[in-house]
Amino acid sequence: MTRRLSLVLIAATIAGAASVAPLRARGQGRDVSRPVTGSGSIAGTITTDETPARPLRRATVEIVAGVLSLPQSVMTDDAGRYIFRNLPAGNYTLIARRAGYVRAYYGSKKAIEPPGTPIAVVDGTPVTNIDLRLMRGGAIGGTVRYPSGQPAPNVDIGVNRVEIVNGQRRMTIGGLADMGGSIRTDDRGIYRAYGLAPGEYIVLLRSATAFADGSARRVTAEELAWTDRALAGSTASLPGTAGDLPAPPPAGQSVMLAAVYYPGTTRAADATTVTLGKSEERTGIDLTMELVPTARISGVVFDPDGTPMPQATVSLAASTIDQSDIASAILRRVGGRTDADGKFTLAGIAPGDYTINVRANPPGQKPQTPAGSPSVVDFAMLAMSAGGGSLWASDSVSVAGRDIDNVTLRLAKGLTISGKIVFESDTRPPGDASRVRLMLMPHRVGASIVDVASSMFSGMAMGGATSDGAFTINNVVPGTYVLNVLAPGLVAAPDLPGGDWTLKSAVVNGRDVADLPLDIKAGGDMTGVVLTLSDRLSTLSGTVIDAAGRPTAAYPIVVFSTNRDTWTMGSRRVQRARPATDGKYSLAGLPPGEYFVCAAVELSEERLYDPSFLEQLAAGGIIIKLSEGEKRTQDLKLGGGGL
Amino acid sequence: MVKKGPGRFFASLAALLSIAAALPLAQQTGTGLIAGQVVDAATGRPISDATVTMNVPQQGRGGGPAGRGGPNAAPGDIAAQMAALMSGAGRGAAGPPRLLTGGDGRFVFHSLAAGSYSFSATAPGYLAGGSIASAGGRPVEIGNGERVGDVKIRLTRPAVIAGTVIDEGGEPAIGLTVQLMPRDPRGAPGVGPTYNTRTDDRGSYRFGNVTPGEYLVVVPQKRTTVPTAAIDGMMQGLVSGGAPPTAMFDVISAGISINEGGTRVGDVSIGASWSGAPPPDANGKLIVYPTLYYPTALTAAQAASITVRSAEERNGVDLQLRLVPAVTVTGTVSGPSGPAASVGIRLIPADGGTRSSIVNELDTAGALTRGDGTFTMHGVPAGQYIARVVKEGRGPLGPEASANPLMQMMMGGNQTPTPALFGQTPLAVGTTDVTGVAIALGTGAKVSGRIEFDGVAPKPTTPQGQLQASITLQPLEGTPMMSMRGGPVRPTADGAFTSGGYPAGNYRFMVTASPAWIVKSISTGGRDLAQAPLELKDVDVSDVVVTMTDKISGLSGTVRDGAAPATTATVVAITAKYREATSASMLTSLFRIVPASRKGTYTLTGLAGGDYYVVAVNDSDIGDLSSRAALEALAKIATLTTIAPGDRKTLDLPLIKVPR
Repeated sequence: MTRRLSLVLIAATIAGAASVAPLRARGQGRDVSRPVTGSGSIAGTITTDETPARPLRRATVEIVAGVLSLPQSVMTDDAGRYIFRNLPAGNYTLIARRAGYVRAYYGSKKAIEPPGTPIAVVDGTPVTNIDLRLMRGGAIGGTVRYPSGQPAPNVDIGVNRVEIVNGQRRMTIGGLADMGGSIRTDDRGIYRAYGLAPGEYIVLLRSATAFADGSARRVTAEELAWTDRALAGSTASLPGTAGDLPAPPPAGQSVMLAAVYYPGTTRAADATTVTLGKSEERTGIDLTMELVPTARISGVVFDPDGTPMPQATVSLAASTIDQSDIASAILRRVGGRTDADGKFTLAGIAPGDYTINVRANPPGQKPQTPAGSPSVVDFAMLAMSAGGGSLWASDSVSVAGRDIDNVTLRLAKGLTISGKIVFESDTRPPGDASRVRLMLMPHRVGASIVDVASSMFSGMAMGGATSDGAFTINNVVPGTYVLNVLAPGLVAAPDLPGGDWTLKSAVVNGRDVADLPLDIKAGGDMTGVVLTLSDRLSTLSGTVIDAAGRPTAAYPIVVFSTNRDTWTMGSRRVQRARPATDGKYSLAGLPPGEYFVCAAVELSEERLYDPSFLEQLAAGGIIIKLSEGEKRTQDLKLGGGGL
Repeated sequence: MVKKGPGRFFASLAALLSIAAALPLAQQTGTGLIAGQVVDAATGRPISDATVTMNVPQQGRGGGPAGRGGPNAAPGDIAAQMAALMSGAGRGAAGPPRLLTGGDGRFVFHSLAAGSYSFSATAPGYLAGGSIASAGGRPVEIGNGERVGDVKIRLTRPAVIAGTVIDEGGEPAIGLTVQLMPRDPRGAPGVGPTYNTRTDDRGSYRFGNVTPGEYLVVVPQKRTTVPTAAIDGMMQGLVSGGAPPTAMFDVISAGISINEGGTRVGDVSIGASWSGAPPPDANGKLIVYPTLYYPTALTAAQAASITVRSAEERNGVDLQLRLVPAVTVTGTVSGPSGPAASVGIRLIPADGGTRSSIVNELDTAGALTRGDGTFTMHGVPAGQYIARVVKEGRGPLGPEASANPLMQMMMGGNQTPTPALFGQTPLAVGTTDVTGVAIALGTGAKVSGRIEFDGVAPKPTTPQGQLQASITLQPLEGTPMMSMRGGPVRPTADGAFTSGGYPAGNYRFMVTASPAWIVKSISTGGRDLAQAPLELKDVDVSDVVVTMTDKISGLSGTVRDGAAPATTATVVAITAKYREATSASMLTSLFRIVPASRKGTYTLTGLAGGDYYVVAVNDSDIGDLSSRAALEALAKIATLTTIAPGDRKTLDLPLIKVPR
């Protein structure tokens, strides 16, 4: 099962890299090999949240800031104290964590949820009394059993904190961050998840080694009765005598473990959440394994000319995604390759609706790899889109325990998008276009992180450019996408102000589609696209003032485009800022356009891209227009009645 | 929670890439039948919910991975491999036939072609079964239409070892790694299978699936000191692209983990293998939890071992961590051409036994050198150590690998091939800081010579026309340093070969070629390397002559218990030259062992001509064959037979019952 866990980790890492990369490229890029130090400091004490509070020794305190290349961490001493020294001036967010406790975010309204309030540090002035109280984590545990009642060891259990977003139970980003180790039953079938934050949890049984490939068959009573006849009561070896036996009864059904949700359903929607109070211990959250019949899907893949296609990658992904469990979205995927005759067989398929995706490269054509200096972004992109053979096919299939044969799929050629990259700057020479990376991600307003993770490896395309700015994105399957432009480390002259390049416009047939859905239709390549990268970053900053006229750090600021088509996960046009301890907030790199600027009472990562939430906010927000390179100050005065 | 950083990420990636997709085997059908039952080895009671896997004979499957239609991407074609993995490749492939038993534990595989089948089983509450020692592992041979109904797979209940770990203040130690290591005869941690677990929020740990045996319960603790410039350099490569100043390959291959949430002190970051370890003060001064052996020992020699039987549950194996003062060790590592930058130093307990040499989990501390070859290693408690450096060599990157972003990130910008470097020094640490430790690295010794093919069969060649043969130098016990990249040495077309550098020590010299050729002799300066290890000092060895022969001998026959075929026999053939073996470690290459079928038939192939002691005994009488005494005991009751080169000899054997 290590392999499956590793896959989850890789996916999580990639999801992380993909979401971090645009942030990095968005004005925080700097030469990380030059350590930055200063004369600021942050100090405080970490205690328990008991009364009276007890100092917590050996808690890890971590700070993150744009001015630091990496997060820094220190540990508390025996009195619970910590100090960060030699900090450069900047805004720092601070997190404290300790095994068995719930991680806490400094200044967060609900201490256990990001985002926290940045701590403003200036040179030469120590910041003290940055204290946090850590809550003892709760625990959820129980026993997993076979249908026969005996305990089931070595079963992977998911204990996922969920939040209701858009009427759906969604795994929280916090829950994703804490998905460090697998929770597994011991030899008694017992599992225990600990250090849990209060909240609503979905508990599910994910997989078990014994049923990993879905090919195990039950021995049937008919088979055993037939065997007894065949052996005629003798246990010794009988020589073969052809023709004296009736045909064997049909083989038992092959089975695999279904994902079973507490209290005992295979449908995620029917799961009952486990409500965990502060530091509460819930035991008896027992599950019984359920075996479901599996089937085989087999068929043939043909190339566009109708010739069987060998070495095509065939993968099967569930059509409905369980939003409460990111691991299932990835792990329950199966795949294989076609043989020399273009035939494929996928075995061990649980009942459900699936999409079959096929990608292939004509013989002799290699998968695309980026040129130039690679980075983790390249690697993440490579992993996500390298399945992108230049030929594709897709179909849907419904499985219900019976084998499905003779599926035929005909490959079509993927499309190419090409054009040029143009740099615009008042102060700098053009950047090296060969370092620009282009990524097409499926466009869907309201998509969750689970949706994004599950669309990886099937629905993305990537591209790059040559030094003269000519770019291509190959192997695009028709669909609706949003174009992401990444310029990792693309700093033409690090000593000049301005930081990284950012996408100003993406003009297709005279229309700017930057951050907007791009419809790519079958039938023709898209040429002459002009991507303009500018280093004239706009900034939006200001102070949040409460009803009494004082600066306040209590409310996060959300800035989002008035164009609802841009409300997609990771969008550059949906951003949040947490005012620092002095009430000041700042956002850099918003593309030119019209925005709502709002203060939110409460904001979780999950809700940032939730359209219904943004609509609510928009109703109480103000609208501003931001032009290219504008340094705009926008103070926000909060009314007495809240927002 | 353990922080998953890039190091772990790429480590797991590498592991993933090595997984070949399982592919359906073409299964021939017939009218044969094999039925049986999975039972408790102790009580004979049937076991329900057991999974029985039938391993189908692998016939006629020639060629490499490409022939199996597997992910036959070129080695550098990581993109394609990634894609295949990410799309779930392999998970849709049908595995070998597998059955789930009901309450009566019975299973049946029917419609089988004639052949030899073996079975294994797993069941909740039992150790996996199907080894040679259990009847289930013995191949069952059936003829056309034959029916066998009495296969018993006996499964053993595991032992349980459980307890609690508290810290010096009596608080539960949470998320702490606890290991169960087999104890070797000298009391040190052995190299056999190890169990790993972590304590929960109550400090409790539980090993629930332990094979009966003698174990040490260990809480390994390690401190790692890494220059912050190295971490930043790696991150620069990751985030910004371009060749990183510090290659991930160097750091990972040095066994240094940079992902353990270090505290920055001066120009270094100090990490700990457990998040509950005390932090350093502003000068890097530490008190540490040293590696702890149950019940309270700081060395393996003083530890109490725990012996568990099947189904035994040993609770209350409790440990209490304690704090000891630690000092800082500083020094310099230099290579043949000056200071050695970004090399890892492992601090290994001097009494740690073989296991410590091989794996780094029992290291007390680790450090990475700075650009000028200096190092600082914080958190070292008093004790006797060996400070060891193995800097892995790098071969030239092929064009495909050079074009591969992942490879470039891993290997860094410097694509120049470099030789492996080795060096170590003993280190006695007391209560004061140790300064001026100097570790000089050398390139080790190279081994060269030639392979000769003595026979009429065509020389084995690859489709590209290269000689298909490879030489491996396997380090033997007592050899202190090993290189991960001590990969096979390939001879040129005319049979000449030259290895990379190997550190001083004893090695088993192993040669493999195509199935048509076997080793006749290996010699250097009149010494026979088939029986004796190759002893390397720091001087090159240049006259190794390997002679291959195409005269491959074999031995087969039937084992009889009285007049009837023996059903539970194992045949051991020991070369008569075993007495010439100068090292116990060489013994394993001097005998062959094969289980006879249920009808008593056995076949040994790929033997060199010569004199052999051949003996058939019951499975249960096969003990540990790793000592000369054990081989001698078998040789005494064996038949001495001479097999001519190329002869396929037939020899029926009596089953010899070894008195207990």
